[in-house]
Amino acid sequence: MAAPVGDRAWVDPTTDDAVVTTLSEGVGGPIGTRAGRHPWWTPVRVLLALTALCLALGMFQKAGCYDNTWQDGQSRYSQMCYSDLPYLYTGRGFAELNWPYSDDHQVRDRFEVMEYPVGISYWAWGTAWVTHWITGSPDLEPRYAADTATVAGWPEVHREIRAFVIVNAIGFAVLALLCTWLLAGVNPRRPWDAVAFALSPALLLTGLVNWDLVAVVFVAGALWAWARDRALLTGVLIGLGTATKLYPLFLLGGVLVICLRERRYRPFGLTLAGAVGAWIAANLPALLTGPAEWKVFWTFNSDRGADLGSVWLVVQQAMDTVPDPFSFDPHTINLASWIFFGAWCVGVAALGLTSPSTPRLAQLGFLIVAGFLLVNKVYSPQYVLWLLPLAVLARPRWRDLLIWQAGEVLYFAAVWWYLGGYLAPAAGGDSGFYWAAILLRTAAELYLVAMVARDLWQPRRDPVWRTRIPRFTGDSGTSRPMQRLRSDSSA
Amino acid sequence: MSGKRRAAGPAQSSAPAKKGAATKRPRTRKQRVWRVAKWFLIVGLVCSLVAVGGFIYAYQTTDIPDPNEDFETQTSFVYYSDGQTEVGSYATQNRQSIPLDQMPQNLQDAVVAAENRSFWSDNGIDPKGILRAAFSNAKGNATQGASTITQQYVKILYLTQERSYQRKLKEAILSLKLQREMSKEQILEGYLNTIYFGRGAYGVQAASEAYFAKDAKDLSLRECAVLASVLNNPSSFDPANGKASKESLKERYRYVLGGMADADDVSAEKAEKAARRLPKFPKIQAESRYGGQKGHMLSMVRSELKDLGFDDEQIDGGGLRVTTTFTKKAMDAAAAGAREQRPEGPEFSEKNLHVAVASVEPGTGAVRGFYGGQDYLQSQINWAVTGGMVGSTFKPFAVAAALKEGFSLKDTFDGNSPFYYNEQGTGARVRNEGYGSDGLGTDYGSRVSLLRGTEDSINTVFADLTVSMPDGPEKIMQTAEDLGIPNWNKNQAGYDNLDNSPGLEPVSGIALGSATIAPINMANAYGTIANGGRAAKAHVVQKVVSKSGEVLYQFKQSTKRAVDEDVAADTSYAMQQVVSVGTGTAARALGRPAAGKTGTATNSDDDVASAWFVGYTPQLATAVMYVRGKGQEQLDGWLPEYFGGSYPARTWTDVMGRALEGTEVEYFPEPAYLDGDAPDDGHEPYTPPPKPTKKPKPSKSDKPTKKPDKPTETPDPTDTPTIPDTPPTMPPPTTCDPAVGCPPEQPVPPTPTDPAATVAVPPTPPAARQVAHRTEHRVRRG
Repeated sequence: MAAPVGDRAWVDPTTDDAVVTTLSEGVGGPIGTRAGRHPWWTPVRVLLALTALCLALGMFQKAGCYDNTWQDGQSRYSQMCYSDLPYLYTGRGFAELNWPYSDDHQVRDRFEVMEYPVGISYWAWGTAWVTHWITGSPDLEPRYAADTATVAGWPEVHREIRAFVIVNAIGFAVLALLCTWLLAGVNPRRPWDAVAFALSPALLLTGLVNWDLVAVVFVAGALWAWARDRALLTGVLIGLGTATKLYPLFLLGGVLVICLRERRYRPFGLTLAGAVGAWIAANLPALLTGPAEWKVFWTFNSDRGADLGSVWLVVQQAMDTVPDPFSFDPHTINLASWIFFGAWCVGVAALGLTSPSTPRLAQLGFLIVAGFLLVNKVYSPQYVLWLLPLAVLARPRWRDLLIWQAGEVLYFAAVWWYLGGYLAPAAGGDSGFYWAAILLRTAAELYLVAMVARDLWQPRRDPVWRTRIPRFTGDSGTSRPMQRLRSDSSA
Repeated sequence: MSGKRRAAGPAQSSAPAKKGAATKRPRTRKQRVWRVAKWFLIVGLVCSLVAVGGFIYAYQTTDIPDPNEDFETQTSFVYYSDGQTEVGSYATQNRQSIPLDQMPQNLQDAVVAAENRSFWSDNGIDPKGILRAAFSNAKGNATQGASTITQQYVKILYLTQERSYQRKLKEAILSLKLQREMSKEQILEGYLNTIYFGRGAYGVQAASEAYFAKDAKDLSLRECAVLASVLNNPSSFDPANGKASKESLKERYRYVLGGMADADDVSAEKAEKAARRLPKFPKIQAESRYGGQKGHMLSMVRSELKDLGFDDEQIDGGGLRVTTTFTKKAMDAAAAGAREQRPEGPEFSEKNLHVAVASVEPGTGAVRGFYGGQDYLQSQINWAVTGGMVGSTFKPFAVAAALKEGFSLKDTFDGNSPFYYNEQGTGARVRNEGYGSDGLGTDYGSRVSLLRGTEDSINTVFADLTVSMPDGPEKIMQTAEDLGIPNWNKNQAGYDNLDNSPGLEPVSGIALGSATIAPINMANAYGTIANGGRAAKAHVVQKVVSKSGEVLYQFKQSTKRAVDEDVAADTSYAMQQVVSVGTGTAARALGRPAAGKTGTATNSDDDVASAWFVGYTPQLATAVMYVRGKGQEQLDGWLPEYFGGSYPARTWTDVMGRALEGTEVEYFPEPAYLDGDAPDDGHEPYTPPPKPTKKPKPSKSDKPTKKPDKPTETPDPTDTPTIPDTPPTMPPPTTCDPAVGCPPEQPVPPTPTDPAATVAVPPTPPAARQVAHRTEHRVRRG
């Protein structure tokens, strides 16, 4: 059932995934054994078209805010179209084209430093230049004479803000298309696995909230490079991803487990070297031009307390009573979450090393990143994007992916309602519904974690393992698909 | 080769095959090493060829600039804030080239002794020095001095503001070329004709005119030694810059003469004799283009440019285009106001009576105009930056501090004079103006509201207020500093108090204003209150552009929250009352909503030594100060009237009227009537016996602007915690629309509506509510 149909080189979803099979009944059922193929609409082209559609809908979803340039403090929550981009464009000095790591004291008096790793700052800075260019390179001098909050209210700046969001949205669309293409290429026999990324409701809703997609493309690239046995490139992409959003660093753990199992130490060394080198190279411009500003990302994140979306926030709010205000010390959370995450990593490593078959990088990466997010101090709605490319390859089953994303979509709605004040109980006190949303989302994530872990225990339940080329039973999952394909065609 | 060997392998017996395999390993390693070495060699060779070629090319294409043609200093121009109208310019080129034989031998020897004792024997360049300088310069440290005269000359020839590796490289090549192609004499001649000696003089001829009013060829040994000493750092060695400079000069002067004696240029006893004293410096007439206020303006601009990192050479010869914050209108207004309102009579000449005026724009800190007290050519003291003791004009800072701490304008303090700090009738005391029953100042009663205390400037109220706050003096000082008053730098002396407030210390009498503060800083701090509590830095330089149009500096506005908007509104309200019904009613003649405070300060002899009025409208804050002679001399009994409400307030009104002519009338925000949790008991508002006829007014229903802004308070949903704290769409704070019709005067206080005034119950519950409201605001600010 899972083998490719007819003369196709790939697994067809209608015969592979129960949900798609059921859905296909409406249009004539699963693909037949004698089905031909469309000469132009190859799977990758279909996937790219679907991604474009998804991103376009995502932009449309933000239309309510776009119309008033995100200035309406209430409708950005009621219409769930909030995005950080417009506020940071004026709040971090991009409206004046300041280098994000400038140590000019006048700039620093006017603007806070970008609290992100360098990759995102570079991207935002680059898109700001494009924004200024397409809006006719406005004269910046009048802005220097006015208060930054005042400048942020000028109609000309509002026009720029909208242009900035558009420039970024188009940039993100390009990145998402690239992502889809890369994910489709990880396992050439299963290009359709990327459709869960292309049509993900989470991608649609959260793609434009912040710059996370920039890091996501590096993760997709790393999975792609690893599948082609290009260890150095994998490392470079992991390094660049880490310089963009830190979490791609955890893929190195997955690489380590695979290399340990197969006793291939050289690829691991190459990956590590590539990652370290690329990370340093990417950080150098910021580090050299503004060391104090570069440090802000690190101090900002170590000093922040329990924040939105995290389990810590639920506990903190639950323990907070009126006469006795309670809040976690940031360093308590740091310590506790690092201990938990360390233990989680050991667990994942043990699971990976004892699994009957070598796990795939996507599976291990998914498990580690999920562990990091479960105990992170802040769990923003768009962080789902971190897991998305890993999840769709780790467990290409619509049922499980939809269960997981249902939790995410619920949380997405809940956080805006919460911020908009719609969830505040009439009797006062804390919002139980918001807590419930956080916990449900965590539960949904744990469900997918369990599914992936089960696949590691019992590889026969892993859809990807089941559709491997039977001759290569001993082979390491998808880690050498090209080789496998080559031997396949020569056979 | 290895293929052959491998092919041959299987044919052999097993033992040699093993041996073959064993020998193969070291060979491969050797091969690998060789391959790497080969590549290194090739790359290295190519690199060095490119480097050598590049160097030869650079050497050939670098021309030695001709000092007489290529080296021209460029006049720097200073403009008003419109960027068009010229204020004046710095040292136009003042340089005459003379041949070496017209430079006294003594001068040549002195310069060599001062700057580069091995000049005649060394080879001119010091590669290590260049490298070190290149590193430290490119890192943005202060320009490192090049060590030899040759190198200094190279530097002069490339007088630009850029500090780049490229320029350093050019310098290195040029110094090599100079050293190979020019004689030492030529180098020294070029150097002495181009180096900067201070006082706008380039080259030794201009310098001897600027310092000694004679030709270079007529310089004496002493004078030669002075010029050779000065050129090392003109601003710190020019004896005209004060005693400290003179002392430094003496030291360097002795060093130079000692060096000349060591080199046997002059005999030891001659050098020793010369070293005993400096030569006479003739009085050099200040240039008339500095006349009036222009000299003061140019010197303020120069000092700020230096703070911004420009040096004298750039300012005097770098061709800068400096746009200042000054407007001609405000400058003229300040001068005209000071001239029109001062008392007439020969004893009140500018030499005796100094009227200082400073106008600063609230919200930006831009100094729009000032009057320094006298013509720059008569005295270089600019009283607008020197200042004087501020007296009661300091009290609004105490009001702001008290409101911040939870007092309200209606809370009451001791108005009876004298006020003893220990409350036992002994020890340190504070008294009010006037005589009262005991001849020790007017008694206003034991329960005087803070508002009344401000209106009538009652000293005892502020003394009581200060001690009623825990760490009161420190809190008042902190508030003043937050608002824009510089702290006291005890190591700094002199007449420039833009960064210093001598005498500002946390003593119990701080609120009475014994500190010396520059009028510009007073205007700026009041401007912070006018600006809703956000402080800006006072400044005069708006923009600096190089001759080629490159922007070298651009002021960028930034403000810091000094006090809450509500605190600012209430402090401002108290000062509006000073103008409406208090000691500053002379300012009502402005015909616009105005706020201000009067002040007089007494010196150590208990004479009145300064009289002030500081006030503002929403657009402009102006400070006016009257002082006499050296700044501490007696005003009472000399000036026809000495209160701040007299001459200073009238001068203020005149200046403001001229400066604001033609601008729209703007209004202040309504007071917030803050009433927090007072840090001390016994200051509750005085409650008159209930009057049943008075209807309770709905309090606070008419204040739409105070609604906390909802969206900004909500935490940021994603991992970025900050959203601009004020929504850009916020309506202007004015609650009254001039188009619809507004009272021409400051909207007179709708009698403070206090529930306690009508219902005689303790006002605790509303107070608690107010505190909650206030903390909410503070959270919002974050």
